[in-house]
Amino acid sequence: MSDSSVFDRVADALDEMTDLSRLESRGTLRIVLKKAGFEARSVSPSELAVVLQKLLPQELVARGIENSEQVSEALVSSLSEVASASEGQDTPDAVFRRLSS
Amino acid sequence: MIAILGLAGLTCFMLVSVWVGVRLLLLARRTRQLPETLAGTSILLSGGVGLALSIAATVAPNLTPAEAHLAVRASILLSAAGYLALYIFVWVVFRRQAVWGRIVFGLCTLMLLVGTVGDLMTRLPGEQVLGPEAVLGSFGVLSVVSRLLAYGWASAESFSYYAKMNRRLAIGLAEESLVSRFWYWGICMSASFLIWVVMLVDEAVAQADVLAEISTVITALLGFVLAGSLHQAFFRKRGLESAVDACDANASSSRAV
Repeated sequence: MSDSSVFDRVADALDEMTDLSRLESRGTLRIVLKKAGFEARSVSPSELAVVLQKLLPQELVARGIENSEQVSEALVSSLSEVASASEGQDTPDAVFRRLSS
Repeated sequence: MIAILGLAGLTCFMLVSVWVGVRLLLLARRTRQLPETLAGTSILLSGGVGLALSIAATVAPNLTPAEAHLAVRASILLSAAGYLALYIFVWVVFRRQAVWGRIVFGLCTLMLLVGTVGDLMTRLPGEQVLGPEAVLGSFGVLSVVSRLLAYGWASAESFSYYAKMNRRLAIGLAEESLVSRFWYWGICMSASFLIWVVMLVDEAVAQADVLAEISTVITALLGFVLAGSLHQAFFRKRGLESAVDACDANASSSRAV
């Protein structure tokens, strides 16, 4: 199952901005997403932005990356230009939110 | 006394199912979305109309044998349509793109269709689907096994999503009321799953009297659990939901400060 384009984009950016390899960047992002209860294939840019702000810095520190706060902020900024197909998708939470309206 | 308790549990579930099913279908008419159409259809047909017909066939005193047989057959058909709607709901909402989701859905559907058609063709007049004298038969067992698989799957998906939503809640990306909806839907699916287990056990032990009474009590209790969880999953009081979400928002902002 393929990951969302927004995940791929952020993983590539993390790879470029740090000493982490491509595999390590993707793995770090996956761990952060899992801790927040999301999946790489369905996370939306707005959700990913919050996850990056709240959870990524400490994961980067744990991997010896300096300026973890700045790296996270830069990744969040890059997301503001991204429009993803996953935004507004009929995910289970979107369906269950609707079902009580 | 035990028979009355059994009837009360199932009737309570049936009434709540009609209420929730109709409201979901009214919602579906407004939104024109597939998931609410499927959930509403499933709850109304299997828990509401289908169950009402099987209760009527079992306890209504004025039905002729031919009318009771017709009610049983209609109940089997409508309930199966409701179960199928639930299978599609679980597949479409949780695993639309997963190959294994398509396989499990296809398997459950095939077993349900074969079980239902076979049951309709072989069921004899006077054979009930509810109560101590219920008859399942091999086609009925096939249909129940399909439900076990599908409702077990639905239950696992709901609790798994509940765990994910709890993690989102911790970073302020979910509302408490939405998180608890997955919990109650999981309870609802689990209670249905347990009812199918009780039915299979009943069939296997050939209706020993004591076990029949125990299974009636368990089914009655599960009926109350189903009614409560179904209502909580979809129509928790708005005031309560707002209060819970407001508390949650306050807690999140306090954490952020």
